[in-house]
Amino acid sequence: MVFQREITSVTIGTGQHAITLGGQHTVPFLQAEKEPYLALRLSGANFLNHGKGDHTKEREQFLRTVEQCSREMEIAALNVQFIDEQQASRLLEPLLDSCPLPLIFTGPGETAKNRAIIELCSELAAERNVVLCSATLEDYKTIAATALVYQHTVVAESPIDINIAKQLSILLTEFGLPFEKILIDPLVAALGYGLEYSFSVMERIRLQGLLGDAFLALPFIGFAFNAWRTREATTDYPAWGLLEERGVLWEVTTAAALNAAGADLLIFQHPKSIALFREIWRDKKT
Amino acid sequence: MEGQENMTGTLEFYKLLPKTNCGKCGVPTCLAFAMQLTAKNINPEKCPYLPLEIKEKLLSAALPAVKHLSLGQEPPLLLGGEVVFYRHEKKFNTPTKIAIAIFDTDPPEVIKSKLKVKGIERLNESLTTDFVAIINTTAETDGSFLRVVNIVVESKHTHVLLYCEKIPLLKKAVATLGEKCCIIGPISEKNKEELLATSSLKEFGIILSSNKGLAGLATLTKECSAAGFAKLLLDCSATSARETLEQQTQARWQAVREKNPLLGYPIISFPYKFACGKIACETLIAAYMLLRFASIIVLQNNVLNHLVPLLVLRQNIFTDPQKPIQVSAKLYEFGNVSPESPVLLTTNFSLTFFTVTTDIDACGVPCYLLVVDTEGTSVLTAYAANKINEKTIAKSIANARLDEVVAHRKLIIPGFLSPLSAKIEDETGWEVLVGPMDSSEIGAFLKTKWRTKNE
Repeated sequence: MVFQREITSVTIGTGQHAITLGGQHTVPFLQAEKEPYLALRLSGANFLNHGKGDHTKEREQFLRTVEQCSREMEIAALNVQFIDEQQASRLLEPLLDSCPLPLIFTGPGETAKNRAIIELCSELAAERNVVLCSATLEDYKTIAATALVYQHTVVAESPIDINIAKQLSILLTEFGLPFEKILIDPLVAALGYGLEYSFSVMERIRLQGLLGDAFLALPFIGFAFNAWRTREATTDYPAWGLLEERGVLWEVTTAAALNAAGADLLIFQHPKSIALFREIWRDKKT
Repeated sequence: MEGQENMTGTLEFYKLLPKTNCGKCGVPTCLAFAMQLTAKNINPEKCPYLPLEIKEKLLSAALPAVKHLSLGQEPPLLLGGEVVFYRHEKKFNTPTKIAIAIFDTDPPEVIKSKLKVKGIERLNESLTTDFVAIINTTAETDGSFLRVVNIVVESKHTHVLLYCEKIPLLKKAVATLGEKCCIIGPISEKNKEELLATSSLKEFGIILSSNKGLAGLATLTKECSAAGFAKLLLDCSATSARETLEQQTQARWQAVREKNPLLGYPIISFPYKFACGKIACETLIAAYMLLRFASIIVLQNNVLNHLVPLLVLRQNIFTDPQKPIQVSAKLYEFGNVSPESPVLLTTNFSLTFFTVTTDIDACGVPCYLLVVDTEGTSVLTAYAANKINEKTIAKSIANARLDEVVAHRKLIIPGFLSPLSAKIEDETGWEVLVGPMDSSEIGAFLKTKWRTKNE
């Protein structure tokens, strides 16, 4: 099957650690499917719970964890969530020095605070081609402008809606961002909580992209860790077995659906999920 | 383009119709009838004016691209009958069946635990595994295979798959198993002559496997169906999980999109072949197989913790994408509620409902959730379509007898409904608090804004 358009290649990060997403020219798994890139989400929030005071120790521990994860888990990228403006800057400089991997920056979730933190981090990480989360239909200009100034890549988030996904791509490109700087987050609903909606909207976006719609022919970023918000991943049902194991299974099953629908960058919260993905992608038969 | 593809099909059909708009088919116009034909929603026989030759052509075109199989005793095991590649085009018809594999080397206590049907209740559906498979790994003279078959005969299972490539041994097992037997195999280039020479096994589902990939499978299906074996299954197992997934995807693509009838059969997957004996690997590979068109998944492990994600994934993927799923519109309780607990409001779109309930659960504050019937639409959609308004909310409050349940008269509405606040207060007499737009902020909202008494 020959399609009209190839998915745009989007490179994130710089130097030898940079990775290139996209480039697919056919439906997922129809032929020569490439191994997905696996990334880890490390929340600065876990280490730096409070905004005030001296956090030297926590910061050192965070950086050690980053270093260890990058070395031992062969992750392709690191997703860091910043929750506090002051801590963000103090954490980011040593992080940029110690971690050569492509970085994905997420804010705390509140719009105004998000904007401030993303702007600050973008400036500090100038020329590292980091990924900024996330532009939405309601609020895309600041993030797009920031990305343009410091040459970063933007995640375009749409609420499980192909039309909004397209509209947002149009707006971002009209604003001046090239296609090579946009990733689509179709909003990942977890297994059991609407995963099929995310799966199908991704399949539709990918198909339209392959059929020639440049605004939809963009790589997906797959936030598999959303699975950890479900009660199946967090609530103990003794009859079901170990809770931690179930959380990992919930995360990898969600990730499998994202990958099967076309996402080639999967972001996990649990190291075991990453190990499991690595294992099954080694071409082995018993 | 998706629409255009459908349009081309419709116009092709339309050319064949009388174009008189007589309505005898039950559809007002010939164009509408052609659209129904394209969607495979109507029987071509309904049009009395179509020439026989064209009717037959349409009837064969209307057959599902992936053959529908009905196997074993009543109620039969149903497989396939799929007409699309993407679930957004049309609902996938037949949910994947999950079989638990019993090996003829398994010790008795393992066999016993594998014979247990495991599962959970979710969204008012019972989700369980479906049947068992007996896998031969021992020599013909060993006797283990038939011993296990004898144990399974005594179990409550009504449908059993026999996996043994030695045809004489397989035949003995089929005889022992009797009416419980529904699928047999594997049949490959190696043993196909022996199968084709028999006339007694034609009623069973036959698993075909080939080391020559899809081309080999296509040759096998051609030979077997010519010999009268019509109920075929494709085992696309290659040398790795990735290659197997590609073969499965190709098979479905060729069957549906390229109308290749030789690959138009349900697919059976054996994730354990690629799992290196690790249960979590088996589960993850099984999830991929399910997502990439497996009609049957044969699992080596029967552990509930690992079955649950697969059962839920199956439930997700096989829902009808055209129909928003709904939950029942009523009052729900979370945690240890009292008459002082807050009352939140949302719609009966299941995705909205589950998102909100997950967030309520996570915040740990006991509360009530009043779910309004919006015909399964989200808050924003329901608001835009006027499916949620002061009248429907007042009705929900009355139906739930909310005034008897709580002592206060305060209702927390989704942030998106804030324009309705005054109208709701006028209609219901309840005080309205405008909650967050995003349910993830419910916890913070309740902790800072919720007071039962005016302070």
